[in-house]
Amino acid sequence: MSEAHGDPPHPNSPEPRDDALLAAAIRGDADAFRTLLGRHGARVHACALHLTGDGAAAEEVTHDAFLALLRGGRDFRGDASVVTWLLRITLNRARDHLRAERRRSARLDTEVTVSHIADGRAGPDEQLAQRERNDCLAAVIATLPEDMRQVIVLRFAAGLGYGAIAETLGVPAGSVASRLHRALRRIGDRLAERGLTREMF
Amino acid sequence: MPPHVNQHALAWLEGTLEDAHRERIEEHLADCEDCRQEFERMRLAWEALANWSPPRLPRALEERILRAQNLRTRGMRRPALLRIAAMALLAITCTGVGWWAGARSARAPSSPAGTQFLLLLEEAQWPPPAPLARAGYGEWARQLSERNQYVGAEKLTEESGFRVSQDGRMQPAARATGAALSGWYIVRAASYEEAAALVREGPHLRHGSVLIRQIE
Repeated sequence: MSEAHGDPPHPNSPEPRDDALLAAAIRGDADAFRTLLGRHGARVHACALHLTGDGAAAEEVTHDAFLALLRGGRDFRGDASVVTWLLRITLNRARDHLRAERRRSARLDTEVTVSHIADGRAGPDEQLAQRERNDCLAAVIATLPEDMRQVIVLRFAAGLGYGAIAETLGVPAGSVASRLHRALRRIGDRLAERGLTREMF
Repeated sequence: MPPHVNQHALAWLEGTLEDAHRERIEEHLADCEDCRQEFERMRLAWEALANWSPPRLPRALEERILRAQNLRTRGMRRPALLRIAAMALLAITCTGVGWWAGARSARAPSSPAGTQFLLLLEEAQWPPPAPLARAGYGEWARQLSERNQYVGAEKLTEESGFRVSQDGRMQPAARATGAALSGWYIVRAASYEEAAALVREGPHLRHGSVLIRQIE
């Protein structure tokens, strides 16, 4: 599988690489940080939203992840990509949040809290339909066990390939494939139970 | 699903499966209703996810992160600001939050416009009864920012933290001496009274009190 959108530019690309941007951002270059945020902010936020199921928590996780990137960036040695490192922070922060929340058993309803995720580029009717589909899909994803939810979110919300997902989760690529396979079967079953068909997507 | 179908189902969905394998799978699916149904369910999930529209980064959140980075950068260039904040934190934790909050605000002198105030967010209960990831703070920061009254903010973790005593020993911070702080803001205001008004506009009083200190 090829790596998906938003990956670091090719070495010959005129676009600055993530590691160069990170180094500049750590030195205080606001434009470099803004570029990193623009390149990866949406995927970090999407992962946080679907891993926590809570809009307010997702904002905190996203905020914390980017600032942690700056604080810990001096330790970045390039043995992982910046994006997998950033997403690893995101996963850890989201997990911390869920653990804290489980202790308080105060989890919010995902179907409500992720309802703002329609794409503003579509027309009003399409936005509504898209929003309903997104809400349904998000609700199904929220019911998955954590290991399956992570691979789905990293693959489809963050757009990572198998290798990058394996690197982010610290598991073999084969485990990623088997989790993805099981997750797809389960999601497909749940969507079909709700009367959704391929034509609706 | 037989192993050869199972093994290649993902590659089929990804569109990366070689023709020979693809034909073999399709032959099997044509003859096996159970496998065809299972594969169609996976395909339904795949196509739903492939057309998924992940959320964009909310504009207010993007601005908040950029402001935090900007504050950090300015802190690198002008360490005095953070040093003052740290000193204020230390003073409060050593002296007792309640006394400072009650006694100092009442006698606070008026301050010139543009003066910066440190707002220390205190929790009424510790550990807090609800997660510190709460709604309303980003919107409050955005409103402050629109009025050019926002300077910066950070959330603290839910740990109690540690205190280094004068002899250099590090010990867990106790609840009664300032462990129950959940974050800080720095705002611009003309006076303590205006800073208090900003606090009342914000979301934190639902969760605890706020200590205001003028930054020199």
